[in-house]
Amino acid sequence: MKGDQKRRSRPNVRSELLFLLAINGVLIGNVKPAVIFALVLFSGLLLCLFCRISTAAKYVLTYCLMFSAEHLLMLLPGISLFHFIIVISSVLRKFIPCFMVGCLILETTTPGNFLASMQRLHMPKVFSLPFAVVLRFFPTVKEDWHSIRSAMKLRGIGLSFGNVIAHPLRTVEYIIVPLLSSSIKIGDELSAAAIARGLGMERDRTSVYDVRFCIWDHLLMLAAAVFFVLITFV
Amino acid sequence: MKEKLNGKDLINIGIFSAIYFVIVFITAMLGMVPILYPMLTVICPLVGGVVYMLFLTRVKKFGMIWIMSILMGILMLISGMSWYALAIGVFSGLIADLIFKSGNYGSSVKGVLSHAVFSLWIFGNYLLFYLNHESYMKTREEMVGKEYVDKLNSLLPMWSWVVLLAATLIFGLIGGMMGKSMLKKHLSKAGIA
Repeated sequence: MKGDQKRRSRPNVRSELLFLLAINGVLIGNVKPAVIFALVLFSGLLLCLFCRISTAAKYVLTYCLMFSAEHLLMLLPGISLFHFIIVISSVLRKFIPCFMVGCLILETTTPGNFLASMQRLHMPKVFSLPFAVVLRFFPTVKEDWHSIRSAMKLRGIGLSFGNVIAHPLRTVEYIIVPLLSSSIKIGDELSAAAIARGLGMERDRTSVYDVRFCIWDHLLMLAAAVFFVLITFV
Repeated sequence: MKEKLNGKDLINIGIFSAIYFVIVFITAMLGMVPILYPMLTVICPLVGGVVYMLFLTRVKKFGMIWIMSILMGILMLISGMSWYALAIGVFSGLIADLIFKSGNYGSSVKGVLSHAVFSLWIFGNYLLFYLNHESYMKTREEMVGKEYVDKLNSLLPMWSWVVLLAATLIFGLIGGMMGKSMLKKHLSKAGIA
């Protein structure tokens, strides 16, 4: 059993969050394109290892496409529309690495593991508990969102771009109101379940999750340090 | 803080934060269309209003709005929007909470006001663009030339942050009022609000 725990095959959410904080500077400073590209590749590697290869491929490809499109447009004569596209694209492109790590955290962290990790970090429960609920609730909202959309489509109220622009308020009403009423119900069930499992207690909870740092955490923190230095000083 | 927040309150915060964030985030995808990007300060408070007003019907203790505001900041940080929304959200959330508290957690006028202040975290995301304006422009100038930088400046000049800030507050008010009436129209009847 002990040997198994040593070989835990993914980093803990704490080191993932630390990595995310370390690379946030990529949005602000004038970071060299090569550094951003390395960061995108590294985050892609993380997604391949711990999440899904298709997700990783999607982000890396998007980045490459945006980068090359920008440079192609720059070769063309200076039309202001092109300039505008270049600016917007070069800003949005910088979000991609953070987005990738955020996706890794949201998709691979279970609420139980998250709560156990945050408890170890002595994070007050007023933050960790709502956040864990958010993690748990995202997939539910997404599911509801899709079923509401198909129900709307059946009645001929599609969520096409034209519809949103033409009747913004109506669209909002038709989507948010059903979403809210179904979420509230799920929410009440969720609170009952959570309280039954002792989440409302004052005392610390015990957990079956192994949240000790493993080799992956040390590697990830090393990477965080390297990228932080690269982003800030190079 | 007279009463401590219990497990149910914290779970409510989580649920509403998730719904609010998803809805605002999907709306913010409209910002991928360049011309709509500054318009998000108008659209997001309008859309988020109804969720926020429903959240307020669950708020009876100090701290719930504040925590939700901080959570929004953290979620923005995670989704790669930098830490400005968090920095703003810590303060605007506290003020929004105090405003709603001053109405004894039941006044709808105070609720609408508090939504306007709460919405400021959306504005916070734009600070990334303004606060790093100069260094940003300089690198662009080296890359694509001065003429282009001038064009960009004319599209989003430095002073435009005042407009965006005002838009967030005003449409926060309108969004709050719309949210209130939407609650009355649909959800009160179902016994949810």
